[in-house]
Amino acid sequence: MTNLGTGNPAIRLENVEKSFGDHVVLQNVSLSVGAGQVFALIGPSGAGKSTLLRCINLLERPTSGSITVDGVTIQTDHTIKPKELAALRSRVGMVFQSFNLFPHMTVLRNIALPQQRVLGRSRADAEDRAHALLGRVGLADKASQYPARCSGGQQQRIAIARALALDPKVMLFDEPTSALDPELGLEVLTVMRELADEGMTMVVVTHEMQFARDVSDHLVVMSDGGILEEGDPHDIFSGPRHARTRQFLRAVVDRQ
Amino acid sequence: MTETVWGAVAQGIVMTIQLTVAGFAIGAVLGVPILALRMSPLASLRWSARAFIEVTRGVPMIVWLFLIYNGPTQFDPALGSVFTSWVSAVAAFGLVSAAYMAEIYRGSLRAIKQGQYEASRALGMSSVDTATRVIGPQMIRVAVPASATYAIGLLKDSSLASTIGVFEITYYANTVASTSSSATPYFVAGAYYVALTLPSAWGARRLEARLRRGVAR
Ligand SMILES: Nc1ncnc2c1ncn2[C@@H]1O[C@H](COP(=O)(O)OP(=O)(O)OP(=O)(O)O)[C@@H](O)[C@H]1O
Ligand SMILES: [Mg+2]
Repeated sequence: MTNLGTGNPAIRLENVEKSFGDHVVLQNVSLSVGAGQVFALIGPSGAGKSTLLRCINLLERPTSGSITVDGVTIQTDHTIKPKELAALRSRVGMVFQSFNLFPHMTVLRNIALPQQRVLGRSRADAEDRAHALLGRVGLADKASQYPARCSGGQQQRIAIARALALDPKVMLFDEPTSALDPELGLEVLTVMRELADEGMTMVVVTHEMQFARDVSDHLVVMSDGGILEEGDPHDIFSGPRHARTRQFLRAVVDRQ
Repeated sequence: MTETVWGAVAQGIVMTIQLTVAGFAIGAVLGVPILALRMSPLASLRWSARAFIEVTRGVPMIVWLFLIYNGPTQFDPALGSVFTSWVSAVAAFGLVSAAYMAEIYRGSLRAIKQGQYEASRALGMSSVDTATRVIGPQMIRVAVPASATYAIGLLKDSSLASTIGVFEITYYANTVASTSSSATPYFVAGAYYVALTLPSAWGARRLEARLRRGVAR
């Protein structure tokens, strides 16, 4: 499964820094995600996990550093051309904690519209693809519903299908199950696990330690805008190197 | 006698509708660029839009009517043929409506969650697509109820145009009342306004329900 070092990484961050005003949120973060790897990103609240994730598709513009996704490199201290931005974003799918489906469109249109507008697919092709993906996330019967009529777990699976429809090279997840009851979260985790098994490159910010341990093949622990430690999830869970990691893991394990 | 009063006042119905529709349409269209200025990244543009909105809404409609109808002729009497009763009334209604509609649009824009923009950007949609496919349609849904309330208010305010000689419902009511020295024409006028507002309110509610069907949470 682990193919670090073989070929180019799917995602490479070099010396990424981000501040909001004087508030430094990310400091000199470098990270390399191999194709097909599943990264779990954990750490205390405010560590900068979401910010780091959002820097990968430039929803947040880093103050400095460079970002490479599937061969497209963006130097963030230069002005970024719309073309580069589009090229980068077309390679990255993102799933949010709050789903963010478009409430005024049916489930089918939610998945089809971006394909038509971004990839220029015909409506028929886009809708065929949407139906296929809905089947894959177990929601074939929801195509003509509006998102508000779907449960949170269903909405999140639809959001995953919407992102997958653009054939991304990597998928980013920002606490995809945090807004869900455990039972509904499980449906979403199942879909994510399948995606991982199919070889999708994934970076997942999560509070689900079980997912981090059992599904991810690389664990990154963040704290105070930097990477505290990273490596094999089992190693880190059984023997964290840093006192800060130990403290964080103890706190989450106690909570669960 | 009363039949002729009903008939006489009815002559103004079409004008009342035309004035309301024209004023509202101008406001609904002009409200968009004013909103754009109001949300501009340039502080100077933002402030001019804000000043325009506050001043326009701060001056009563009837004062606007007199200002636009009488103001220009003071500088050049020939302008009287441009600023006729009808043109002045439409201009005043359009101007004030633009300011109100810009604020209604702004309110509905603020009702849209940040996540909608983020999702659209993350999917790689252009800013034009984000505006026209994602944000715009949601904004319209939110703006419909407030806009309908405003339009119905405008229909009633259109009676003020009688003061500068626009031949609408209230104008005819005034004329008939002054010759007959009876209050009946005003009763008739009131009945016509209610007859016009009731279906508008009903139509607005139907439209709102239809638009909300998909969005209801
Ligand atoms: N748009 C913003 N403007 C200012 N500060 C921000 C902004 N977004 C994030 N921050 C700050 O950056 C820091 C990191 O935030 P971030 O959301 O990345 O943390 P996180 O690790 O995802 O936390 P959580 O687990 O609570 O989601 C926090 O101190 C936060 O207040
Ligand atoms: Mg976060």
